[in-house]
Amino acid sequence: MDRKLRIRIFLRLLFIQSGWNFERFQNMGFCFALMPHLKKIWTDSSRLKKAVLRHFGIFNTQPYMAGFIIGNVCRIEEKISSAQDSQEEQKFIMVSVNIKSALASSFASIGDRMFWGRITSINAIFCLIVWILFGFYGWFLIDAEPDVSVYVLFAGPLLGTVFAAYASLYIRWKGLGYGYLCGGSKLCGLDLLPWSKIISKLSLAGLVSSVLIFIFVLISAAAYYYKSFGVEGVILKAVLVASAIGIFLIFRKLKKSVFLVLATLLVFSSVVVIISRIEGIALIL
Amino acid sequence: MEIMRIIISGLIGGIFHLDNAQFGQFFISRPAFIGVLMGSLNGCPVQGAIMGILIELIYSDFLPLGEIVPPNGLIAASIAVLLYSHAFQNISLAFFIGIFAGSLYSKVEFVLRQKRSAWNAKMEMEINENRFKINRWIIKALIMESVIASGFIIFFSLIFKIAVKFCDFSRVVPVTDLAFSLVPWIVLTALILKFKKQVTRYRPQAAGHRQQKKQANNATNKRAA
Repeated sequence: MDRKLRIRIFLRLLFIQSGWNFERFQNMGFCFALMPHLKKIWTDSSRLKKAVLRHFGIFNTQPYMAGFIIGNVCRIEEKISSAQDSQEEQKFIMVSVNIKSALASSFASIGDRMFWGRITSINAIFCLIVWILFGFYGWFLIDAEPDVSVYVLFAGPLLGTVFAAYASLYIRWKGLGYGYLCGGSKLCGLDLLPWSKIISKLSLAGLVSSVLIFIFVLISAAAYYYKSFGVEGVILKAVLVASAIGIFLIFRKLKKSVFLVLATLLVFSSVVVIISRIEGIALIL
Repeated sequence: MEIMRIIISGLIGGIFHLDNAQFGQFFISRPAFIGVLMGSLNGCPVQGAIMGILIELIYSDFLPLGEIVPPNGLIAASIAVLLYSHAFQNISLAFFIGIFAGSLYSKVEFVLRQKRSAWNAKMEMEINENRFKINRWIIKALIMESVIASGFIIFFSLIFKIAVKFCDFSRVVPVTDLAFSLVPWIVLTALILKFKKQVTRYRPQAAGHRQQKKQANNATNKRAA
């Protein structure tokens, strides 16, 4: 595959999720990305038609990992086009179908765990760390009046975005080239990087940083409430926070959605507000 | 002027919405970024940032796996900022309505994806007639997604802008304020539990590897002895 063609397929790969549908998932995006290569190797329109229809079936994987599969399929298509007889051609067609579905599910599992399961949350952590470093605490001290520059506000989410966008583009580009190189192999691309190691390292980094952020928030909030409302303020806030976390943990144990937690939090808050309006209790509070 | 701002913000939201699933997925449609962007456009970047990051942390609980259509963080953050800026002037109320709008939009997205299923037969027919115009369908999908997302943001914001003139929302504000002040604690706890679960899931595997290594070492030692 020459560089020009690789760039064309890579750019089209960015549209892999366009046309996502429940019947065949990413089939439209997959064919759209594959089209320049198919047009190059199948000059006869009836054979091109057969090739396009062959790849118009069900296809679904993690979008950033699709490069591995498209690279692989490009290579197998070349083998089909240069087959000596119809028997060999059929053999390669079968290989193409089998490898496509096998790799799609393997890469979906890796990509989902790595990007959706870890990197999206780590992105949010990056944002929080940047804001904390530049002294923006408004996201957890809601009643405080924050004074912060717009550049800092933009820097938080942009740092994570740049990191994740780079990782996603790198994997797509590398995957396309690597998939093409080892096309036809069932393990193609699965050995490119130590995926399990990367995933477990990301989890550990996420856990450590989220625990550190929680401790920082806890100490800062306690100091803020002590300064503003005294010991009573800290105790009252601690009771409310503990109750909210308790509600969340119960629902988490019951495997209920976070929306139910928010709804319960609203009910809990309305009960607290009503109680705080009863004269005697309001005085104690 | 305010309505014009809502419309412009809605159109920008619709364009950025393409990054969500249709094109690229470079994470620029994440609520934390969109919150700051929409906030800057509507004169409330700090509130946009606060609502954006909290929406992002809440929605990170939903993963777009297989056929699952997760709630839309971009729609939630955009609507929350527009409601804060042009309707309520209250961050907590705008936040909870934004969260609701984001989850409601996932139903709209579900319908859109279902509608696109019908395109397969038409496209197949075209291919059979040697017309390879897949790019046309891709462009159609992009325009459809963008227009509907923009329309949803504008419509939802305008409805609440009108509703605020007829309904008194001030009664619920103390309740939403209190609930909103507790949200950061819940999302941080959720984040820790999420990563803790992921780390412990890998621990037995690692322990298994260690045990295998130990057994292999023992066997070599025995052989050497």
